[in-house]
Amino acid sequence: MEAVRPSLETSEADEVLLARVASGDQAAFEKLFLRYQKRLFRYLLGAVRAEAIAEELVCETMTDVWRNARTFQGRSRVSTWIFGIASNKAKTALRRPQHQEADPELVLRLEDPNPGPADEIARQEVAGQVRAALEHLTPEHRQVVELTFMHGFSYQEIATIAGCPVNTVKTRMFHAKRRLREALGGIFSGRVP
Amino acid sequence: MRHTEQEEKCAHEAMALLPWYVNGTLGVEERRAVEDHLSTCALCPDELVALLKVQSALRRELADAPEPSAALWQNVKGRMAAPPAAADRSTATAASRQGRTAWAWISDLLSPALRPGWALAVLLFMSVQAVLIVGLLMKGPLQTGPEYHTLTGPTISGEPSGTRVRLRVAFVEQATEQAIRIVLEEVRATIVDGPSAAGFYLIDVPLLNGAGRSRDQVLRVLRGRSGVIRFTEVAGG
Repeated sequence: MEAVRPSLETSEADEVLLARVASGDQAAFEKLFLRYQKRLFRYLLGAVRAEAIAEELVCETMTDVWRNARTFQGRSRVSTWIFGIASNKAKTALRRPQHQEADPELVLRLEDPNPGPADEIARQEVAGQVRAALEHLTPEHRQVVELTFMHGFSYQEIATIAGCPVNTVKTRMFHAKRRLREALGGIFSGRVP
Repeated sequence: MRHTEQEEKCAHEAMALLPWYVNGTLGVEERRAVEDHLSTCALCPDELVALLKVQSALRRELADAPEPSAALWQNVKGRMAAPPAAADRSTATAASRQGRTAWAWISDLLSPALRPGWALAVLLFMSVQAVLIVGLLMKGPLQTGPEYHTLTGPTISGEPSGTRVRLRVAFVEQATEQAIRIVLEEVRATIVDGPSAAGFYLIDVPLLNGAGRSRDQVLRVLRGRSGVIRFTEVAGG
């Protein structure tokens, strides 16, 4: 695929690092961990909605990466493989009976408390609306939206991460867009900056 | 025009691909198909602009997202006991976890420097918690008063010095033992008493002079972990 990748693209370097991890190189693993911890944390936080559980799942995900690095066969990007592990961890966590779906203060704490000039305020208004709209999505729909727009994965990669057919990804995006459109009417009609 | 009508009118495959046109992951042919469609469709350009705004908002949110706790790397390091070459011989990590003793499981979670003393303390803590929970279920609430016992580590007698602070905390009912442990380790806290009839624990935390944080920083960290801790205050304050 010759698509333009977002700036987060680090595929080749990731593969080199993972190969070193597979040989037991702890320094390489630490680099890989530092590279992914924030992205994984935000992704898992979006899935399980509780910071402590998200952190625990980051730990579990990266521990699996360490232990199973040699099983990576290069059929996908390293990021797809790692996010696939994280996705399975989130699914398992969500099935646990003690899982608490909502941390009602989480969204508020993600807000930037220091708005700046007018355009920054407008940007934050849009960001706030998008964030609120995401709360109306099912976990599966939210996952597809976040993996696409926040983490820059292709629909084929999202199918691998979510463990579902490509057409399911497109269908989920279709329904997610419809819900977003309902919640973000102004943005979708071009009336909001 | 309502968008449901738009979807009916614009059933072109390109519309389904717009999100991935926006994030730049389409192949050459798919990208050209979308661009051809955009040049002729009166509706999809609006959706393209909207999706660009959604992407911009979410990318900024990722950049502004809170960092995971500093203790995270230490937690992962503590679980790296098995080198990859040895571990991946088994077909599944889960299989290797089955049949492990509670001791090994706890020990893996802690950094090597903290083993085995902390593992014993945590195991003891879990055992006492289990007994307390069974007791609560069978006998009703525990009485408050002078019958508290230290749950982990040695009993700390007298008031804490200026290098430590004691806090009264209550954990979220659904918080897992692992999540509680991560938060306590983050501020190097030791449970010294509890639970009370209302479910409060007394924890002892080293402060700045003891190579830890300031009292306010500790409170801020604990109050920021609302998924695990539902109440925090300075004991006796």
